[in-house]
Amino acid sequence: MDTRRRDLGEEAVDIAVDAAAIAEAVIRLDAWLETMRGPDGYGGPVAHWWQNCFQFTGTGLDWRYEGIIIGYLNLYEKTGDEQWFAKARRAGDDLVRGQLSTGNFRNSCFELNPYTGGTPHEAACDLALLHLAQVLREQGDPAWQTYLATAKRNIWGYHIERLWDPEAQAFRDHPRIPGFVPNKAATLVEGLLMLARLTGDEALVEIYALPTLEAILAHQVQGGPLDGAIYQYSQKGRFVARFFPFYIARCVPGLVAGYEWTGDRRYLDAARRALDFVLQWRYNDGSFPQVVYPGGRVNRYPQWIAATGDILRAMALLAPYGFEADPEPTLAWLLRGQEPLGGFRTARGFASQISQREPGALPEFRDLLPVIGWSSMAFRYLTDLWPDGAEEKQAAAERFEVPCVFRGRELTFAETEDQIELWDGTEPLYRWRKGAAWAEVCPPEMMWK
Amino acid sequence: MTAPVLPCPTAPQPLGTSAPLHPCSPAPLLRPSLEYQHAFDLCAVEAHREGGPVAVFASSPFYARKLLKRLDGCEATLVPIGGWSSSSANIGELLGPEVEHPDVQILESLDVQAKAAVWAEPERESSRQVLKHVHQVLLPGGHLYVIASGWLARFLPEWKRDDGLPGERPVGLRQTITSLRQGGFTVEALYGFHGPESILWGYAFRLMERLGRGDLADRCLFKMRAEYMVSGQQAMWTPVGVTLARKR
Repeated sequence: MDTRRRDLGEEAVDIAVDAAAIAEAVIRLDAWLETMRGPDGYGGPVAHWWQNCFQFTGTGLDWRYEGIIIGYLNLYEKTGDEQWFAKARRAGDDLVRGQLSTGNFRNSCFELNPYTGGTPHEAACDLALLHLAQVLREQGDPAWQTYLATAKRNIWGYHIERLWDPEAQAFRDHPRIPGFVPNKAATLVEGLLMLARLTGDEALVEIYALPTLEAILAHQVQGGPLDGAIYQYSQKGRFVARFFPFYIARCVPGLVAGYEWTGDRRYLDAARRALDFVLQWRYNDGSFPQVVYPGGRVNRYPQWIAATGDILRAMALLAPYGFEADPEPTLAWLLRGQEPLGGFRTARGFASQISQREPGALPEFRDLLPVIGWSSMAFRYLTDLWPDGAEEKQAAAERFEVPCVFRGRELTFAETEDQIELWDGTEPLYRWRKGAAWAEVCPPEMMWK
Repeated sequence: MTAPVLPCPTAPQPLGTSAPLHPCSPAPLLRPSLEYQHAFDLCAVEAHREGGPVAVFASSPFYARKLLKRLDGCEATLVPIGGWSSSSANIGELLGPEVEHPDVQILESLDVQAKAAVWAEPERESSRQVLKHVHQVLLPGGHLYVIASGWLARFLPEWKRDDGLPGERPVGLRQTITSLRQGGFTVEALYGFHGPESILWGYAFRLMERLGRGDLADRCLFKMRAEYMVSGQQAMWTPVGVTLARKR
């Protein structure tokens, strides 16, 4: 069954994608991000393809910080408004305070939390810290060295000391497991190149970043219907034939950064072919399937909404190199997923994750659940589109309530500035009070990892 | 013992935020198997809802580390039981960098009144004695959450490691329930993780992988996870269970 270049007949999404819409989306998203802060940083439950994390809801020092810090820096750069810079710095301070004596970050495993040593999450935190350090250095503020030092401690103390595999000439996914995950490595490559740029330590590039880029290239399919796709994972040389458009798009920034550093066109070509593959699988409504397998098989659901920010960012990164892709269908898909409080829906079709049948009329709880690690990807992309002279109107919604399903039951999802709830009639089935480290109500039937 | 300092090339730190790097044992980077993740998270949610103080009776550093990490803010008191050292000198090292140094008390001279207790896990040699102390420590009506490993747990990586097992001779779920009932507790609920149906879906996942059907394998895996938690008698057939009991 080859379903490539299908026309499944979805209607193109009818939504106005203009400057005002972008600005409004960003301001609402910023307001929502504020509601997600607790005493130590940004928290909340997580829904993911691999695993859910509904119980632990405390601050996670993971890739959410990449989107948040760089997103606020984008806004600062575009507006000059100090409030955005203050928020970027506040988020950077969360990371500095949350660094453990080992160099790792506390609760850095996103959907697997609460654990440390998360990949690519700690590398994504480093990348964010290095962006922040760069801006501070340009301003002549000595505090830049604090953020630089925090990133360096993690890169050296964890990634290089614990994850670098000299035999494989690549970074492992875990100190004890000789596995390689290209998208995670690509994030780390971005961090290494940025660290080299800030410190002048080119050995980081020669010894670690370039061999890792070569390992990513070795994971790219050459020719055939999967041309350009990048294997999700390999262990001891055995490639795992799962191709995630989202994760393949996450490889693009590292490859582009590698090209910009070296001028080696192989990296740029690899990035272009990777994105070509991703876009071949785009549906008419701008969405993407979750996983593509050999033989043209697909597990379409759940389809990311908020996380498509990173696919759009990959398109934007390649545009200056002549890569022609129309972001509008996906941008419209993304914007349509914004909820009244400002967070973005996580996905469409979580209820179909097992059956892979067309989802029903009602969204699943996990579809609706705005997850900060996903919404931050939307934030980073949208802030880069911030239009000149846009007005900063404040978001107004106070409560959002909508019917949904979970485990086949019809329920009600509700979000306010203070909490996220799931109601079964008049009984709360789930409640997270924003800022709390653990869900207040999470009975065993909600224990679905 | 002080851990050696890595020769990490740290940058100048004008704000003085960074101390030298300390390598830790790989233990904090090892996530427990999904069975234990569920069990620990269930206990954490319940204990946080009850509020502190919480007494944690742990038969190994593994249990202590994973539970205390989750009970931050609950006024947790650690009571090491069994063969592992309770000396305050090395307890910080055993618990790893993620756990703040907790209040540690020894079983024989416990001086704490707790609203809730977590016990992981009852063992043949000590369960009767520990239960007596748990009963003394808990306030009337207080909840006790007991993590117990069944015979299927022998297949979990935690029980195959050579650097410290979760326990020595666990009594298992059935005996735990009997002991609780005899020891002045009302058993309110029993949950098990990775029940029989879930195990079958796990086998289906492996079969589909071998057949080269990654798409179907993934769907089997998610079905396995959807059926992971079981309650009541089915929990007896799981590797890891949690018993919720209330002091009578």
